[in-house]
Amino acid sequence: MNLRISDTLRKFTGMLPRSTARINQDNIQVSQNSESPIITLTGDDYSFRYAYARSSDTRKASDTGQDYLAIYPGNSFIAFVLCDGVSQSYYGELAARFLGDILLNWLKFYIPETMDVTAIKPLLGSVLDEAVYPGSAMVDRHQLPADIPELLRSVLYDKKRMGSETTFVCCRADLPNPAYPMGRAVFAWLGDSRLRIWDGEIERSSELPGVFETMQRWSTRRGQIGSTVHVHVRPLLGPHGIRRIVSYSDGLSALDDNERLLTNWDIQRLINQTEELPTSDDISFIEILFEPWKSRSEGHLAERKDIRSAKANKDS
Amino acid sequence: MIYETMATQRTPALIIYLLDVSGSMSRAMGKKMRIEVVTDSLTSALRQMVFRSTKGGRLSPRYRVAMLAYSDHVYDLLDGVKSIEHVAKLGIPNLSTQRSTETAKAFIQAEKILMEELPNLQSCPAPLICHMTDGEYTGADPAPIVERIKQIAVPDGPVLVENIFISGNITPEPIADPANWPGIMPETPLENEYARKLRDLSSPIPDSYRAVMLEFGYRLGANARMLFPGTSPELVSLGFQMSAATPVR
Repeated sequence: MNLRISDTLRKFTGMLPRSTARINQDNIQVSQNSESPIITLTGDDYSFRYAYARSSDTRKASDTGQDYLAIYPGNSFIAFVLCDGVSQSYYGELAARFLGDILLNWLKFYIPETMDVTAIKPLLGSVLDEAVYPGSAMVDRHQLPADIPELLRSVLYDKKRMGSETTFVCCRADLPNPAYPMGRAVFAWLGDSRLRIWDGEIERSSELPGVFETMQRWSTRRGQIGSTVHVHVRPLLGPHGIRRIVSYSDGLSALDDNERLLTNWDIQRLINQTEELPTSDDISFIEILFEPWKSRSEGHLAERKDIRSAKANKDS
Repeated sequence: MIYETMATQRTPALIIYLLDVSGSMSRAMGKKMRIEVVTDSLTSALRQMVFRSTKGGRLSPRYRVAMLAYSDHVYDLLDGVKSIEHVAKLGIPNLSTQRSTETAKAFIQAEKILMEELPNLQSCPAPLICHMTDGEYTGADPAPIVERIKQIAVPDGPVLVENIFISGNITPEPIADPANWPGIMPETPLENEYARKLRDLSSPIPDSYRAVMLEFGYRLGANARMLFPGTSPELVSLGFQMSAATPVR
C-alpha cells in the first residue's frame, strides 16, 4: 500500500509520523515513551488513524506507558494489536509490548488461511500458551532499579513472581482477493479494551461473541487468565460485512457512548480532556475505514490545521 | 454512586489507624502477643497499599496514612498524615503496650485530623478510620464522637468507620474459614456486649470495597458491617486488608 502523508499535513501539524512512531519497512510501533497526537494515513483501499497518550501521572514522571499499539499497514491486509498492560502486575508495559509483538507477527505470517474460527482459535491459543515460557524469562531478566526503598523492592519482587500481565485486542483485515472474495476480518481479544465494528452507519459490535472483561488477560506466568481467547471471523463485504473498525484501551472509555464518526479534532480533544482528569489512564486508539477518504481530505486537513494551531497556542 | 471515587495520585485516600496499645495487648494470641499480631497485620496492609499504588517501578502516592496509638494518651506515630510513599520508607513504627484504653481520646484526635484535612478531600475517596481494640474503653464513651465522625462527609460519601475487635468469643461459632466468611450482619448474634456496641458504630461495607476484598480472596456478603472479630491472626489480617480496599485506578 502506498501511504501518503501530505505536505500540508506535515506543515500544519508540525509532526512527522517518524517523530512519534517508528515506521520501518513494515510495522508502525507506536512509542510507549511519548505522546502521539492523532495521525491519519490514507490509502487507496483503506485509511486508518491512531493516537497514543500516557496517563498524566506517567507523563509527569517521564515514565513508560503501559499501553502498546502496533500496526502493519500492508498492501493486501492491515493488522494491528492494541495491548493494555495491567498496572497491578509487574511492569505491565513489558507484557504489553512482548505479547503485542508476538501477536502482530503471528497475524502477519502464521494465521491460517481460513474463515473457520474453530481452526484459528486453537492455533492462537497455542501461541498464547507457548509465549509463557519466553515471557517468564523476559520478566526474570528484568532488573529492578537500584535506588528504591526496601518495602517497595519487596513488593516488586512479589509482583515479579506473579508475572507481567496485559489485555489485548488484535485484528487482521484482508482485502477482497481470490482467497477471500468478500474479504476477511479476524478479531481476537482478552480483556476490557474496546473493539467496535460498523457496517456503514450501523454499529455491529453486539455481534461480537464473548465478553470484554477486566479480569480476563494474558500473563507471562499463567498464560490466558479468566477465559480462553475470544476469536471472531467475518467478511468485509456483504450483508455481514464491516466498513469501520475501532479499538481503544479503557483509558478512553469516554468514547463508549459515541457511535458516529468523529473528526480528528473531536478525538484529540477528548484525549486531551481525559488526560487532565485525576483518574487518567494510558490511552491507545486506532480506527480503520475501508473506504477512500479522498472526498473528506480537505475537511480533515482543516481539522489538522486547527489541532496544530491549538497545540501552538497551548505550548506558548 | 457513593464510595466509587478511585484513589489516585491527585485524589489519594485518607486512612487513619487508631491502635489500642493498652496493657491487655501484651496477652497471647496463638504463639505471639496480640500487639505483634497487630503489627504483622498492619505491615501486610501497608504492603497491600504499596502493591496497589505501584505502576511499573514507580510508587504513586494513592494513599495518605495517619497512625495513632492510644492508651492513657494518644501518640501520633507518624507525626501527622503522611503519603504511602513516605510510610513505605519509614516502615511500621514499633508498638509497645501501655496501660488503659482511652478510646474516646483517640477518636477525638482522629476527628481533629479529619476536620483539618476535609477541605482537601472534596475530590478524594471518603476517608476511612480503622480502629483496632481488644477491650472495652476506659474513660469517656467514644460513641458520641464516632457518631459525629460518621456525619462528616465528602462528595464520595460519609467517613467510613471500621472496627477490629480482638477478643475471645464474639460470634456463637468460631469462624473457621475467613476466606468464605460472609461477615457480621446487623442481625448476626454476638456474644459480647461491647462487640454489639462496636457493630453499631461500624459503617456498612460499601459494594466497591466488597469487590476489592473479593480480589483479595474474601467473600464478604452484602450488608456486612465493617466489624471484624480478631479472634485469630487470619481474621485480624482480614480486618486490616479492608483498610486498604479503597478502589484504585
